[in-house]
Amino acid sequence: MSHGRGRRDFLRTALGTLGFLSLAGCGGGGGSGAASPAEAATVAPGAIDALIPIDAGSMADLRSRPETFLGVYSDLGGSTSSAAFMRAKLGSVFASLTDAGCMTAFATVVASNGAPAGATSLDPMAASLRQLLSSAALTCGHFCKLATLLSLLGHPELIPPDADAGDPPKATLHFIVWLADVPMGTGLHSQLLLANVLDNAYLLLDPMYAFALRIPFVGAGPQADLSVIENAAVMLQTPVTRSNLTLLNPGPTAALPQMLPALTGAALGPQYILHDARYGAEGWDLRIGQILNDLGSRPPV
Amino acid sequence: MALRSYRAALFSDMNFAFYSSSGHDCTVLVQGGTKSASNATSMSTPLFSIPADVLAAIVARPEKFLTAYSSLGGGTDAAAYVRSQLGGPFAALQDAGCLATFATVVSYNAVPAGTSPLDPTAATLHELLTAPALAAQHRCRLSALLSLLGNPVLIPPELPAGSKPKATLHFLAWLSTVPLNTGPHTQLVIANVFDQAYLLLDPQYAYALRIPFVGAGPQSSLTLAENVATMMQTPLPPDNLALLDPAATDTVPQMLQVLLSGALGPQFVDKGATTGADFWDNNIAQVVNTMS
Repeated sequence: MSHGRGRRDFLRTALGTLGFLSLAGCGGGGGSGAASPAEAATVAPGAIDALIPIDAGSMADLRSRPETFLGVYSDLGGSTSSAAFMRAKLGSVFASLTDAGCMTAFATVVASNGAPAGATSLDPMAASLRQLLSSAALTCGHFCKLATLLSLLGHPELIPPDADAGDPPKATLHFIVWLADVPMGTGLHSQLLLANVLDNAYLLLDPMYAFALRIPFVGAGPQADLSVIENAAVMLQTPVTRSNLTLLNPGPTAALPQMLPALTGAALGPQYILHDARYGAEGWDLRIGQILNDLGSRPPV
Repeated sequence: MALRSYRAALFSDMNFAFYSSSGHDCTVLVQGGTKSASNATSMSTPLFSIPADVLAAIVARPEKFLTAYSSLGGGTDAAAYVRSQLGGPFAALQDAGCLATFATVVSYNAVPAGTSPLDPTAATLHELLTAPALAAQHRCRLSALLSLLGNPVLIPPELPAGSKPKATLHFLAWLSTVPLNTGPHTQLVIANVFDQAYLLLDPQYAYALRIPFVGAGPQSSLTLAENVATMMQTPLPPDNLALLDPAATDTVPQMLQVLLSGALGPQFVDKGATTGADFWDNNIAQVVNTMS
């Protein structure tokens, strides 16, 4: 057994025993003296300083009828298009962001407003939109799942995998799951990564810590023999200028000061990715790929 | 050659005709239900052609349905293409109605008609797309799920009073006594995709029917299904009917005659607690909530 494999098995066993993997991580803190997400989240609720405030009435509508997410999105910006509004809010480096990317960024905003961060008994892999929207607390995996489901309402084509060889590239949405020792101070952590929604860059979204990061391609760009998240992690080994980072709400990251410098300071890399057919990005790709196939299924018990 | 649209016309004593909506082709008069052999081919031409590889792609990855829709008419304007195929009375059909019509076409083409052990109230998109056969309820569910992929806002009920009217999708369940000669039957109705009309879609028999409002329009004291059925007590001009695939109704000519004749009505609407339109409204309303 390789060292890496043994390390993964150990992590899976240890974290699974603690219940963290069943919550898709980010509930147990990450050591290194970091504030726990729950602690960080105490700063988060509320729309003060939020880049895109969402009023309580809209959130209530969303909870009772999730499809109203599309109406809320389409109302953004008044006379300008919703995507143009989102691009303007995110900043000039996001000028090439497609509508699918803009809607997912907005879904990230909604998800981050959906519930405080904290432990929940919901299984994030199986949790339904209604369950996530009505949960008293969510962990990073749940936040990502919620943002994903909302995004798919408007852009079902985001479902991975990529288009078949020979077809035009299409936007895809992935989970990027970081190992517990990732130097962001989060512990095990999940984020969303979108491909083909920006020119020569990936879009990373963190619905728990409420930020969007444009990850510019470096060198010759993505390598064909790496997965999307591996490529993104490789790109993160190069410092990212701060203008590529937009805080959707400064609250959640205020209590985790080491997170953003690590993210933009080239401290991350593919060595911190959790590869796992069930709980890693590979498992999430498969799960998300089933969402439309399972449309119409009975609610999980 | 552009695909031609045909619609049932001139039903009288089992003598009826189909004719091209564009008027540039043959008028096929069918006497006593016997088709003219020389025109049999054109009569059975489906309004929308879905290549086998496109259907296979949708079965493998249901989101490809949206790609197929957006490719209609050469990828310029899918809704305009659908409207042009359906004919003049459908000229005002909104995009949500056009997409639901195409979902009906896909549903009809994806799986043959027949009995199925699948529970139509709980079958998933994948289960429906891969079934060897489907009954009317299943096909309506399949059409509904495909439509919701493109327009989740079609979910009933309508938004509260004071909100902007929005398009909604409903099941219309008929009792076994309905004179369509189908036995118990299920169709789809889309509200608020026309000015002053409902859109009825039948994925089992492959047709679309525009049901114009009569009198003062829908009555607030009636359910949507009752309102639709009430409107159908008034005879409909034949050009409100577009056959998506004429072959689907070949064996049930009386169905179309009855549909247009004013013979239907609310007395044939199934209001059962587990089979009626209200049940289905609630069932469909859960589709987005239970997305996981």
